[in-house]
Amino acid sequence: MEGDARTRTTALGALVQSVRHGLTASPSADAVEAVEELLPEGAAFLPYLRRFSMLIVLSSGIAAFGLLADSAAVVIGAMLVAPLMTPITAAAAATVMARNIRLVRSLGVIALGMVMAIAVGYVTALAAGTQITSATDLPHEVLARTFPGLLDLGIAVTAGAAAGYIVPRRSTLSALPGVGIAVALVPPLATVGIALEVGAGDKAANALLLYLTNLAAIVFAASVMLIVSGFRPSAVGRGSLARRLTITLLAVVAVAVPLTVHTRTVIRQTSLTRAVASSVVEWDASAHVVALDAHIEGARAQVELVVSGPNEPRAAWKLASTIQRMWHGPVDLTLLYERDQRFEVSVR
Amino acid sequence: MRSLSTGAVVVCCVLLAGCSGASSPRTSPETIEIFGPYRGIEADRFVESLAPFVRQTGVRTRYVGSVDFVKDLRLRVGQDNDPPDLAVVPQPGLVRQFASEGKIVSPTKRVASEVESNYPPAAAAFGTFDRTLYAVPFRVDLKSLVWYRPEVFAEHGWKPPRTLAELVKLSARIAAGGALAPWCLGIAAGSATGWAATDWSEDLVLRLSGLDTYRRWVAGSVPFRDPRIASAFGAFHDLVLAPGHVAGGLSAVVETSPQGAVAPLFADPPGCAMLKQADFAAAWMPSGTTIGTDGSVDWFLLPGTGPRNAPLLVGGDEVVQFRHSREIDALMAYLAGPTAGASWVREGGFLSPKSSIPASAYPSGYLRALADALRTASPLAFDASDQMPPDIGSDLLWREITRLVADVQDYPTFAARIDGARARERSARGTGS
Repeated sequence: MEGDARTRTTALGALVQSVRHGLTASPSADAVEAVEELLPEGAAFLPYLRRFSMLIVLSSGIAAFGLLADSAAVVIGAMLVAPLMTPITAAAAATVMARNIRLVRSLGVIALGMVMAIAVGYVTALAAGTQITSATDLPHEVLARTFPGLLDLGIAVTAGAAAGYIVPRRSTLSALPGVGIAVALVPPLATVGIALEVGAGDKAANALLLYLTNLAAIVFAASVMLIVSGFRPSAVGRGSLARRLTITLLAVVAVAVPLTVHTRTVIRQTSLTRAVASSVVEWDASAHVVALDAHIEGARAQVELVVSGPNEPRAAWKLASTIQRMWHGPVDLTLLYERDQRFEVSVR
Repeated sequence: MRSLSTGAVVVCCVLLAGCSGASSPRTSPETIEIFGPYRGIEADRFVESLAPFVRQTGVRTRYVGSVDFVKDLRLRVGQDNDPPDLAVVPQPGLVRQFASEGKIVSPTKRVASEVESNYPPAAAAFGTFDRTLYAVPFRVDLKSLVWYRPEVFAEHGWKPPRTLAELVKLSARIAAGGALAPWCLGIAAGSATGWAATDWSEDLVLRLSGLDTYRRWVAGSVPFRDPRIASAFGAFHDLVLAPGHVAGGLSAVVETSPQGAVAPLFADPPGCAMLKQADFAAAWMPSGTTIGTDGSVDWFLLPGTGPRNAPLLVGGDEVVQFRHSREIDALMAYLAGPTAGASWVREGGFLSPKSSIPASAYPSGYLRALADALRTASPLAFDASDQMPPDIGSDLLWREITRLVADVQDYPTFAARIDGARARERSARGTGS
């Protein structure tokens, strides 16, 4: 036990030493070079841009097809092909190192990727999504990207920190695809295009919110991790580091606000659905729910319910009262009660 | 600290005020349950009306509204023995029945005093039976309205009539023109089919027989077979149901809902020139409809036999209490006071029977004019079918008048069925007269 305690003390001490060393020491030349390679400059920029554009088109095409086919495996494949992680990490590095032109250029590449991925999603849905005529037909994989919550923010922050840690350390580069899978960038953009094509503007906005969450959180977390790894602005731009980090933090807060609202809505919606199901059991244990459409409008729950049961229907106001008591909010209920009637007849 | 003690005094005063005169208060409920017919946005408006009381006293309320309100309430009060604390009842006949069965309690003297202070005598009388106050009137609907489109009237050179005779002439003139029917009417309303026809015939009984006969007819001492009542129903037939007088003919009348009957009035070309329906019909009109002489629709009061003082038929909702407690009595006193309903008046779509809420409180010229008409009307009569015992007024009468309108039974048969049922009901209550 004593040995364990000493080991822990030693490990903690080593971590503190490492952080202190990172904060005070300069990064190695290899680490700086690795970060520089994220976004080529000069004559190498245009060939990079062509490669980037091709990979964006291909990855968002794969993502869009995978989303329309409702295939999680294909969507993960698209994440591995997606090239967005490099300009985003480059933007984080440019923020930390106060290299404004490089920052603008990387943001330009990110914006180009966004537009292209949304366009590819839109065109793919137009050409191949003929079975989807409205928002209600959207596959599960698409809908899964239209409910961003605070958990997504947590994933993006940790994945961004991982990216900031991996990029300057070539020996760990093999882990980078994992970051790309953890924090999806292209699939939400393809979802925006698909949702726009079917006229589901609210779902497109939610998918875009998911993307912006990932973008802001990765830039912020990767920036912090790069600082811990010793990256600093040049002497000229040193004074602006705090301001730059504040701006990225504000971007994270800006997406966190709607995410918090959205998360609360999702939790409230889930608790409403649960309250309705429990209330039906309390109302008449022999009845079962055939169809349920429960949504929240303002502060009110609008519940449209089809229930089937073997007994005479009990008073609907009792069911509405139970839902209201369990959900703790005003309820408008429309109930259609179907009587279970089964006949078996033999004629000889 | 000072404001806290002031607040505590206010709460105690309100609770004690409500308590005065209460008979044997039971254990106070944690939350006052109010059962009523308002749903959706109307439920919200009603709850908002209670907000000042809730804020002032800290008493919690819970409102439950049901589309099957009357059936549900009768079950709760009857076989389920699970009455709410308060109920908002649209039928004085049901209130009278509950009172005679001892199911509801008479409000406290404090409530009676508030009713006396805040209501005109005609409205206060709606909640009083056998000289005892049983209900606090909360909402009133003005039923004697005739809706028309000013541009259609102007195009044909028609003018709103000032007397019933002028209305009969105008109706005949429109029918003779053949371009459109004088009237729109729809009475299909599921288990309540027929209520729109009872409103029409009641308005004519009130005009042609006078208030005294009307009251005795409601009470059962004047039967349906009485020539004065038969004559009013005959006038209803000649004015509205005669061939060419109603859009779509009699089959359309029994197949169309009161809400759906609004459509031909606004059709292009219009299917009818006039629609007699209560103020709440404004909510059924196409969005963007403006009301007034320069608007897309206007209204006049169904005229009386003379050019002045046409009687008005009203419906409405009354609040009854099923037991006493300090909180319930305080809430009843609040409902009878000048504040309750004021917020709903400001929102629109609601007429208060209270004289303490001035006409200027209403948000539109249309509602202000209705409020003025209610204050100046002489006489004011409550919907007859809603005053009759529910098994007759809200069931048998609706069914039988539907058969009468559909022309599958004649008036003597109709009158005999209703009179027979009323006689049986009276003998069952042991009040043969």
